[in-house]
This record gives sequence, structure tokens and C-alpha cells, in this order.
Amino acid sequence: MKVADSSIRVVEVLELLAFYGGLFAIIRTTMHAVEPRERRTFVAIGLVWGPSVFVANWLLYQAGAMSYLPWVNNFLHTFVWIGFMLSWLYLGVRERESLFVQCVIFATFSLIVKYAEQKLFGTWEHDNFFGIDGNGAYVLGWSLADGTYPLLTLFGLRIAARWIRGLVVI
Amino acid sequence: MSANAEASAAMPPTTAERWLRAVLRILGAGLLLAAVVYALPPLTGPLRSFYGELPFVANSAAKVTLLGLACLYAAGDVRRRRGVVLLVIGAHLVSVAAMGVVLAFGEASGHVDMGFLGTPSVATVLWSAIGLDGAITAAVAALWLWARAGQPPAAPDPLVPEAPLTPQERRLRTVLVVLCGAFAPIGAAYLAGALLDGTQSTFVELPFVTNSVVLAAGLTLLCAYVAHDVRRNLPLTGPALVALALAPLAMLLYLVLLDTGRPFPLWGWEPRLTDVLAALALLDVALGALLLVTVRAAWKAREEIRFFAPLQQRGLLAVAETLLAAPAGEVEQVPPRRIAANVESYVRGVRAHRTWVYRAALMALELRPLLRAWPPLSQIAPYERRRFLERRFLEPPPWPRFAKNLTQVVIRIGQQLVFASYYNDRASWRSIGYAPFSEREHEPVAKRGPLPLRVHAPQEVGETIEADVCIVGSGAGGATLAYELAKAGRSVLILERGPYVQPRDFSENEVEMVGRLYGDGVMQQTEDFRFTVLQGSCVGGSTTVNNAVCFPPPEPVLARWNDPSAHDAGLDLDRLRASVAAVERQLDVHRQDEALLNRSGVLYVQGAQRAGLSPGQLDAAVVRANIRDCLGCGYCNIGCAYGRKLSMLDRTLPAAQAEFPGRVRIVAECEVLRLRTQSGKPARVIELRAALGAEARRVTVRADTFVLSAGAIGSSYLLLRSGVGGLLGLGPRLPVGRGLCFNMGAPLTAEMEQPVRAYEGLQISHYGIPAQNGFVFETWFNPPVAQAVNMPGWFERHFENMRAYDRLMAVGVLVGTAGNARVRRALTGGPGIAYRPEKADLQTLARGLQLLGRVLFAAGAKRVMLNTWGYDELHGPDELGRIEQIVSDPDYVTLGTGHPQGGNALSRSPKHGVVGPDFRVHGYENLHVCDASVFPSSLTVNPQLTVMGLAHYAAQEIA
Repeated sequence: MKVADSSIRVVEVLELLAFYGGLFAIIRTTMHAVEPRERRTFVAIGLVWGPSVFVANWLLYQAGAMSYLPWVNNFLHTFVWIGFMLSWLYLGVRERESLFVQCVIFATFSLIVKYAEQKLFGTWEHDNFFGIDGNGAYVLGWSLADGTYPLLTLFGLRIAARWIRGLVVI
Repeated sequence: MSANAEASAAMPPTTAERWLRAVLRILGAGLLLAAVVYALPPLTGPLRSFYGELPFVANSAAKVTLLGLACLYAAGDVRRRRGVVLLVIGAHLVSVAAMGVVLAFGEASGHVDMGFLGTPSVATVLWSAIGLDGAITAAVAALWLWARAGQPPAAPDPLVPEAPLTPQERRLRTVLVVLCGAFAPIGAAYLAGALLDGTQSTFVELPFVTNSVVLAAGLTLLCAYVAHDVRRNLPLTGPALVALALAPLAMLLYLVLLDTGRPFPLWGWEPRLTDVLAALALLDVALGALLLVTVRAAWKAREEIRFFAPLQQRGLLAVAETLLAAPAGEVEQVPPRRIAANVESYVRGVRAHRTWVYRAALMALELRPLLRAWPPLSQIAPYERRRFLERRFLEPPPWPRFAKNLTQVVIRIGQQLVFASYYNDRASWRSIGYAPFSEREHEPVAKRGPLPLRVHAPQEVGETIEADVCIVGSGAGGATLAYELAKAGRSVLILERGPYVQPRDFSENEVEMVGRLYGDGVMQQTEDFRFTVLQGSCVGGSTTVNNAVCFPPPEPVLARWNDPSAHDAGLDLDRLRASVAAVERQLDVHRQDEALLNRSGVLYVQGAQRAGLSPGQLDAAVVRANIRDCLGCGYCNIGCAYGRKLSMLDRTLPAAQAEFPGRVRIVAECEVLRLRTQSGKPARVIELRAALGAEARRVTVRADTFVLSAGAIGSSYLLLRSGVGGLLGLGPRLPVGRGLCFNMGAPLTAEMEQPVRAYEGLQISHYGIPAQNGFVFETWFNPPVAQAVNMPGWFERHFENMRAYDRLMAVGVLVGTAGNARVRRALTGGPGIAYRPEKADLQTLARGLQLLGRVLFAAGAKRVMLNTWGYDELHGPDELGRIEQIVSDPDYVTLGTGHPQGGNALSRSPKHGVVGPDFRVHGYENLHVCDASVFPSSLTVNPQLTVMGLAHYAAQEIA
């Protein structure tokens, strides 16, 4: 079911932002502020993830693998949630938790956010996840996929560091 | 053999007992298999409709499991467990009786759909089951009666303490009585359900209903039996706990995977099957949890265990009782219970991440027999237990290699724990002719006074530390480098993972000192568990626990290192030689002619002469070492308490602080977790993160320069963990962790006619360098524990060999291996070492052992023994030819090293090396490596002097 852009109300956007704010308060317990040395790294992570997932969401919708995300939802989800908040979370946990635990944290947060966006906007409705039937499978499947964020970012940063100066890499 | 096993062997099982045991094992295995037959069909297959009443099906699976395990426990020791045999008979009688009652008074006229087996009537199924259970009952009862006639009394079990019950055991007894009171009416309720009008339509699958009755009856009988003698029968709670876990597990499976929404009518009430399954599962879990908590408390209180779980501790007791076997007529000096108690207290004090390996190994040992239809190891009669271990472990079947390795390493760990405990106990020393240094005749000597060394304890360190140069590791490389850098005006911070232990605190207690000075380094093995890589982990590093033997780097090796077509290390060899000479002067390295030489070394030299080996053929002489006025205590490997070993701990680090005040800080118990790097060309390490103290408090260290001197394994691992090296690593693709090599060691242990007392004197006193390349000899003997864990032989043979302790001597062959080993990140955390000896290295080892064998026989040895998994003893030079074949199998010969090298090789090319001639990591501005990991290839000789020489050399590059 495609949710039209015009059906999203301002109050729902504000509710989502407030929800994000609540999650951010939790995320900030892992790291109060981005160290000056890590700001470039933070921006780099956000700038890679945000736009790329924004575009990927649309492409996957075109390919029939994802439900349609109205541009407001897509923008908020990719630039605010993934680009800003998940980048913050990553820098906060990458040295404190094992890679496995990081992946579980990211998958769990992703599931929570998808559920919230589904409740607010009616998005994230799809009947299968790459052939596995059910909306539950769809939401869970993409959440687990989002759980690979720490792994991809770890190695992505290492590779990017070969060409980009000033990234703090572990 | 042990007194217990001897008593058991003196009254071997009668024919009737053997038959009974065989039938019980077959019955037990069959019943356990039946558990699968019961539990799985509701989920899939053509018989799903037959297995419709899920609570009873789950109970049926639990019932056969309970009785199956009971059969195995009884089979393990038919003499001591007569009561369990009766319990099995009783449970089958209950089964027959319950089915009889149901046939007589229940509704058995219907038919059951058994899929491809047809639709027999309920009565037919019940009569068939009665026939089967009746036959089993009759057979077991007949065998039991036959066995009982003329059955000798069971010997008392020395593993069971004779003392009043503890409060926890009394509480367990109460709980067991309560459970009897709970299970009995439950069983009656199941039977009533099949007979009463209001429930007959639900309790319709009568075979499963009667199984539920038997489950409840079986649990009642078992609880009553255990309560009758809690002290002796405590292990029998195992089958009850398994049954109480299996039933709810099956129910949970059905809840998740099946549609359980249909009604389950009971007396006019129609709850859903979902709710019934959930309620029954909860009830079983609650009863099982109650039993588990009280059993664990009772066991822990009785055995006073805190580290091991009861199951692991039982495995330890069983192994202690079996492996430590005195020959007939002799007695072990330390009883098994004391051995187990010693192990518990030792392991609690070991400071290592991998102590879980001990737990896992003991659990595996205890449970392994179940795979062969035996009860857990501790429940097998001692004589049979010994035979089981001999058959299953000493000659494992040709399994997949990983399974074979795992089996052998598990038994090896059990063996080492037991031997360490036994031979560390003073009660055993007289019997082996050992006298500790404190009881030998010698001039009065005091331990070294307080060390003039300031080491910061974890609580003295803040969250962030700033430094000029930060060195990771305080061993041969790190300490020497720190001294030289301080001399050059730099301010140095040394981070050491291990603790700071002062020489005055070193003791004669081998196990205690190994736990304190080696940490994880004592448990470090390759991934296939075959090869031990021993390393110290304390302030001073391996120099605190090594034998202080000093060899300069061999010239052919240096030439190869610098060869542009080989490693292209780019070293200034004249400068390096000067550095080595400087270190020798600093540490007073000299030939130990004045030391109390080991008598075995003298015999070795005589043997070489008598074997006709000229100095040109074998250069055999006293070692050079950084030791002054050695007292010959023989405790080099557990720390020199008398300040005679001029190690980094004793000499270099105190000198650095004394001569350059304020420039050398040392923090102990600080494990570096990773480096944080800022990308660029070159990249720059900005700080490192470490975990401090027992609480692993996180600290950050910032410095201008970072040097890794964490040893051949540690430095590579830290680099890998920090993203340096590898395909997806930061910076250039460096071969971090590759090219790891060792001085692979294997000793020959020789028994002489007369006492040698090789534990006295300089521990490694003599060496031998033959004209043929590739290996060296070192005389070497250990205090009792280290010698016992390396001693060839099993059971009585091992015991006898240790009884010959004061007539034994040992010489090791060291082979410099190829660089085919590798450090990587293990899945379980920590470094993984992948290594399998190359054929050429094994052939070199064989040549070395054969030559050594000639020398030892010429010295007067009666026999020589190789360190192998089985047992190989040679009685004359004509048998030395066997060595080549014995050593050709790396799974059979026991190998190890204390000299890991390589992994971060020196080379001008980043393709072939990790660090350049300036010891800087390629692609990095301020990160260096300076320890044995930079060796491009193995030395064959002891590496510490080379490491220190390189550190002295590197200081000029880094400063």
C-alpha cells in the first residue's frame, strides 16, 4: 500500500522527531559529545550513509523489494536517523562493545524505529522480505540488515582511510 | 592403579554382572533413542495424528530419557548401584500395572491411526506395550537376581566423604521428600484421568498417558532413592533434572511450531491446549529449578567448590582418581579429593581470560562416556573407568582431525590439572626423591630485598595518561628500549599487561607462581591445541621466567635477514653487533662456569665425548647467561627470588629509573585493547585504549610515539585488532601476523643408574650446537609439576617415571621452524595461532633427537623416553632409528615452544615486512614495533639477547 506524501501531516512529523529525540537521549548515554578529533569521522560516516540509503530506499522500492517511503519519511529516516543519530551511536559503542553486540544494538534500534514509523505514517508495509512471506519478516529482515551497519562502517572507514585524511580509525 | 581401582580390579565383575551391565547399556541406549522417536514425530512425518495429545507425548519423551539415564547409571557400577537397577525394574512394573489397569477399567475399545502402521485397536497397542515392558522387566529382574547371588559387597567409594550431612544436603533431602509427595499424586492423577468419565475423552491416547504415569512414578522412586542416602546418591539427581528439563523443552517446541489452539477438555472445563502446555511446562520448570538449586548448593557445600560447577568437579574427581595410578602394592600420597580441592584453589587464583577452557574440558570429560552408552565418567566403576579412558582417549578412532584433537586436548588438560595438583603437594615429594631448595643443604641465603622499582598500581592511574613515548610491554624488547630512550632524553611510559611481582614474593609453589607470572601465557596453544606457546606475562615479561640463556644472533641468520633477495631487513649489522655487545656488558652476560652447574649437564658433556663427538662435530659447553652467582635452586622458570637472574625486572628497569629519574614510568595490570589511528599518508596513532586492573577500567593513553613490544603473539594481535594489516585493514596491506615461527622444542628424558638430582643446579646449564645445521641442544630439568606435565607415560607408567624423578635428566632439542605459522584473531576472542609443523622441520627434529639419543646412551642412560601421546621408550642406540617414524606424526609427538618469533617482520618492502629498518610500521608516522615479532625468520638459538640487541639498536632510530 503506497502512502502518499500528501497524507503525512506535520503533527506526525513532529511526533516522529520527538520520538527520535527520545532515542537520541538514550544514544547520548554512550557518548556525550563527539570529540573534536572525531568530528571529521562523524561527518564522513553520516554523509556516506545518509544519502546512499536515501537513494537505495528509492531504488529498492523501484525494484519491488521495499515499500514506498514518502520523501519526508525517507529523508527523516536516512538523514536524521541513520546519518546523524546512528553515526553518533556508532562512535559511542564501537570501542565499548564487541562487534556482535554492536550489531545486535543496531538491529534492535532499527526495529524500534521502523515500528514507530509504521505506526505514525503507515510506512514499512510490505508483504515479504526477499521471498519470505509476511510483514513481520519484512520489518525484521530489514532490521537485521541494518544490524550490519557497524561491520560495514568498521571496514568502510578502514578502507576510506587509505584515501581520506583525518579519519579516526580503530 | 589407584587404590580404588585396585580394590575394584581385585573383585572384577562376575559373568552375571557383565551380562546385566550389557543389557542395561543396550536398554539405556534404546530408551534414549526412543526419546527422539517420541519428541519429534508430532512435528513432522506420517505419524503426526498418532502423537496428538502433546502433553502426554512430551511426558513420554521425558520418561524414556529418565529411565534410559537410570539404566546407564546402573550399568556404570552394577555393584554400587543395585538400588538403581531395582528402580528401573520398579518403573517398568508400574508401566505394566498402569496399562493393565487402563485395559481393565478404561476405554480401550477405540482404534488409533498410526499412519503407515495401520489402525490397530488401543487394546492391541497396550498389550504390545505390556509385552515389551514385561519382557524388559523379566529380563532385567532375572539378571539382577542372578548377579546378586554371589555378588561381592561393593567397596566403599573414597570419592564420597564420610562426614555428617551439611545443612545444604539436609535441605536437599527435604526437597526430595517434598517432590516425592508431589510426583506421586501427579502420577495417580494421570492414571485417574484415563479412567474417569470427565476426562476419558481427553486422556485418550493411552500409551502416552501411561507413560506419563511412569514418568511421575519414576521421579517419585528416584527422589526417594536419592533422599535415602543423599551423600552417596547425589549424582543420581542428574537423570531427574534432565527429565524435568526435557519435558518443558518439548512442550515449548510444540507451542512454538504447532497449532495448539484447540480445546483440551477436563471435567467440563475447556482450556486451550496452549494454556495446558504452558502451565505444565511452567510446573516442570519450577520443580526442576527447585531441585537444581538445592542440588548445586548441596554439592558446592560438600566439596567446597566456588570455581567449578558440580558436573565439572565430578569429572575432576573421576580423572584424579583414575589418571593418578600407583603400581600394584603402592599408594598415591595425595588422595583424589585433596587433588581436586587443590585444583579448585589453584585455578581460582589463575589470572587468565581462558580459565573457561578448564571448565569446558572437565565437563567434556565427565559427559563424553554418554556418547558410548555409559553414564558420566564419575559414575563408572573405577576399574571400568580406567579401561574406558585407555580405550577411548589413548587410541582415539580415526575421527575427523578436529574431533580427535579436541578429545586429546581435553584429556591432556585433565591430566595436567591432576598432575599439577598432585606434584605440587608436598606430600608427594618424598616419594619422588625431590627436595625443595629451602630444604637442601646450602649456605644460608636471603631472598632479594625490596626492588628499587616504582610501578604504578591500577588505582594510581587516572582516565587519561599523557606520555612522550609509550611502550607496550616490559619484556626484553620493551625494557631495553625504555632504558635506551630514557638515556637519550625521552620520557617513557611502559604499559605492562601482567602484574608486578617482586622477587621477594616469588615462592617455591610452582602452581601459584605459574598463575601469577604467566597468566594466559601458560594456556596459550595453537588452534588445533597441539602446540603450546609459553610466554610470561608480568613486569619483566618472559625474562622474569626464562632461563636467561644468551646467544648472539647467528651470523648466517643475520645474513639471510639482510639478503635483498630474502628478507631485505636493511639492518646495519656492525651496529647491531655493537648493540648486542653493549647489552651483554649491561647484563653481565658470561659463561656460567662459577654457577652451581646441573649434574645432568656434566653427564651430557661426558656423553658427547664418549659418543666420539669432537667439539667440531658438537660444540657442547656451559651456557652463557645473564646470571650472577647462581645458587642452583632450579626455579628459573618460576622467577628467581634471590636476585641472581639479571632480568629486566631485576636489572634493566630499576637501572632505568635510578639512572634517569622521572623519565621511566611503569603501569602494571594494563592491557592495551587497541590503537586509535588518524588516517593520512602517513597515518598517525593518536592514542591507545587500555583496560586497567581487575575491573578492566578503561583508560586512554596519548603519546607522541608508540612502540609495541608485547611479544611475538601480542604485538601482531594488537595490530590486527587495531585494523593494521590484512585485506580490509587500514593503510597498506601489510603481512601482519604472517611468518610467525618458533624454536620448536622436544625433550628426551633419560633415566640413569644413579641419582642425578637434576632439579638441583642451574636449570639450563649446558648447550650443544652440532655441525649439522638446524637444531641445538639444551640440558633442562624442571621442578616436579613442570616435569610431571611433560613426563611421558600414562597411569602407572607415568607414576613410575615420576618415582624415578631423582634419577632422570632431560635434554631438549630446539629446531628453528619455517615461518608457516600465523597469528590471527580467534573467534572466541584473543589471538589465534595457526600452525602445523612442516615435514622438513620434523625431520630436522628427528635427526636432532637421534643424535641426542646417542649422547645420552653414551652418558650411561638405561632408557630414554620421548614426549608422545602414547608412550615410547628406547633402551639402546640400536632403537634410535624408530625416532624418525615416531616424530613424523605431529599429532602424536608432543611439541611446544617458549620462543615464538616473527609476525611483524623487518623488511624494507611493505609487501614482505611490517616494519622497516627503523622499526617503524610501514605507512605510519609514529608507530613502531620492537620485540621478537620483528624477526624475519627463526633463530634456532634462544632469542632474548637478539631481542635486547635489536631494542638497543632500535632506540637510536626511534629516539
